[in-house]
Amino acid sequence: MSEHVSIGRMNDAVDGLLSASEMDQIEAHVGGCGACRDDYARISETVAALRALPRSASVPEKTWAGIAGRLGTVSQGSTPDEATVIELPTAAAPPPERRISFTVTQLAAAAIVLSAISAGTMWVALGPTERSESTFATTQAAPGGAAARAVSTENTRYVEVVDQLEQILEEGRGVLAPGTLVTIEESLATVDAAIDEIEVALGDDPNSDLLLRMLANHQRTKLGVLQRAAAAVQAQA
Amino acid sequence: MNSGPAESIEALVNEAQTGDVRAFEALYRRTSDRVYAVCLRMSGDSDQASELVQDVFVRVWQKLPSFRGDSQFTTWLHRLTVNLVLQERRRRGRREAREIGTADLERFARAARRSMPGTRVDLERAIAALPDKARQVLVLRDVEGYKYDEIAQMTGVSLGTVKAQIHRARGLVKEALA
Repeated sequence: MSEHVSIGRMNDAVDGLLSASEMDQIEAHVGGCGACRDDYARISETVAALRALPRSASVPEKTWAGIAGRLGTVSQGSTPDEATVIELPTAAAPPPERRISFTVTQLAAAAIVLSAISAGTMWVALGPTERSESTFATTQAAPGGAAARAVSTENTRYVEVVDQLEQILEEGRGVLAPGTLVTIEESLATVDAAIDEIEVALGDDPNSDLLLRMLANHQRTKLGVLQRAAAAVQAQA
Repeated sequence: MNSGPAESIEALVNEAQTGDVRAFEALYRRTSDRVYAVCLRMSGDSDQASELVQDVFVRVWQKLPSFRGDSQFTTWLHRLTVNLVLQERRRRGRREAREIGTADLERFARAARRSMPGTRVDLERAIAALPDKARQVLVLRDVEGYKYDEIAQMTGVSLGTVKAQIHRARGLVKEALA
């Protein structure tokens, strides 16, 4: 092996993921190449140090008090989802006591968020061709630096709205049917994984129009899922 | 709970499964340091780690009756801890900022490089200075010993991405310790 060993291959070697013949090739090269030998040694030493870290740390004493205080509010045998599920009232039985409640402020905030999304008054980091006419026109016409600020503002707004919708969903888990909740969470996990992948790819190619469109589409999908989930929570609350 | 400190974890589990809070506290005392270490390293924040430990043990209390002993309790507890930390990251994910890809890790290197080389404290600091996602996968792989495909499954990220993140995170830790 005459070419230098890539960092990825060195990591694979340290992780024991290579065949014996591949290891022989790497060792032969490393034996005669000072640069690769240094890199390989440092990766090996770093991983060895990480693996040697102690597996325990002293938990703060106050932590048990917090747990003990919460044990009284949950019952054994309930799954986390079941713990917040409320029974639906029936004609024959009095309404059960709700385990969650929304404040007027929370409901008002949720209504504003949903209204804003429905009206299309906020949007996300779209690529230029995806951006709405008004937003794009404003961005193009803006003097130097303003375009970046506009995109940054949109991103900030996106994060804020997602955060608010997630909070509505989190606080309203108990009113959704377990099956519905699972479907929502699986959908969100799938979309999040896709967004993560695209963001990694954008790190290497930040100006890719295709990736920006894909990101915008997935962000839109996530907002749609969260919007429907939050609306369902509101309808039940 | 009817015996002394030498009581086995299995016995404590059996008693806690019947609703014995004192047995559950004893179980907590025996296992919480390990849980805390996982939470602390994966979150990089002691206050958040303490909250996570609370969440873990409340969840354990709720799920204990369904624990059948097919695996060791400590293994079950460890997996539950990791899953809960990852869930928490997803929940908080977008709140703090956009997540960071491997190419963006470099901007965190400066903070990691500030640490002095040579001690375990510096290694812990270097880990804590990594961005959330990189820190979590690095801890899962190199400290907790999970395989790459297990980490990909747990985090819902592709195998290639997980490997790239871990390799890059190792590089940053390596630089911090140089």
